[in-house]
Amino acid sequence: MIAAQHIPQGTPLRMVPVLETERLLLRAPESRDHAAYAAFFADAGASHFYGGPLLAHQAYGMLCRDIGHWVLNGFGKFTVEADGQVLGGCGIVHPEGWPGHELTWWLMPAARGRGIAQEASRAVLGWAGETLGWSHVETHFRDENIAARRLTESLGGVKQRRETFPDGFERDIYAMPTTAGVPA
Amino acid sequence: MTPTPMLITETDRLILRRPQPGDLDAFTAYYASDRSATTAGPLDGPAAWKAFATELGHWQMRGFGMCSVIEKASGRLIGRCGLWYPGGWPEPELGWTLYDGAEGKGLATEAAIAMRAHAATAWNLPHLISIIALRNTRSEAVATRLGAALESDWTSPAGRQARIWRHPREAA
Repeated sequence: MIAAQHIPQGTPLRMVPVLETERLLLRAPESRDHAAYAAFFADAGASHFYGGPLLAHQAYGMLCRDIGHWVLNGFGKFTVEADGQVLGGCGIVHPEGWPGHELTWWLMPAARGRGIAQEASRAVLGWAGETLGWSHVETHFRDENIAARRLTESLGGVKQRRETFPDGFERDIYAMPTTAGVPA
Repeated sequence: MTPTPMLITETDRLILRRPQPGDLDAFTAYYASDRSATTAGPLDGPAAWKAFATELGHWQMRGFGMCSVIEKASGRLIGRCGLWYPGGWPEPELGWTLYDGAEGKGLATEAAIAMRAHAATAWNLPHLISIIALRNTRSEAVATRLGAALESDWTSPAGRQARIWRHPREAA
């Protein structure tokens, strides 16, 4: 009889590294993040640019999908925490049918305004350069998402082009250098 | 014997293993067809990708999930069978789906019997339900062959009408 493979409930994906910054820990999304996902997506204002608001069971599906994204693409969204508290997520996503990959972040309202997204994004860009071997990472956002544009520009982002996306919205596409892409 | 990667359980004719990224094409083809209407389809490519990613992540979240079913004789991926417990579900359900061309050979029943026994011994889930969409008579026939009994009507969080069947309790 062949031994069957089992994983305990809530096991984080082994393929996802842990990234540490001065204030933050970026790690694999896992089942204990459900409460944070549910709270974020229940907040219509906070989740407006992220497909929200969503009901708790839909947020559960979103978390499952974020984990599966890693398995399918080899990259994805990290969960961002500080002192054991989930503050949000940050990573690189490329859903099927979209024109390219995207640096993305989401933050609980209480975690905003303190440079958390920028600090997490720098860690992700560094990981993309060193581990994925990418010289640049792209991102895109709706025109009215001023905060995303500011953050992108603070990370050295430069507008590349404008495209119409599968959801019908036109967006500017920016590219940012990863650590590896920045001359010393 | 060489261990099968990601093996969960097997039967005379079938291997049930964890889904892998390479199983996406068969999943997408199934969801492109009208046959998927009883399992929340049809879905276009991007929506099927999301659904498949969700099934992969479900394994990490729950420690169990839907398996890919491989026919030993042909090596073909012929469907899915396993435990499905997304948000909004009343409890984990035993599910099965055969892809085009695999029906009529008792394969869904064979896979489900093995999965049900495995759920009891490996995951301590000995008394499973199955949730079957209204008018999915083929799946109801499988449930009947498995000895399951109709328990109640149920509406999914997405508003789909279904019925809950209860399987006989397995010896753990």
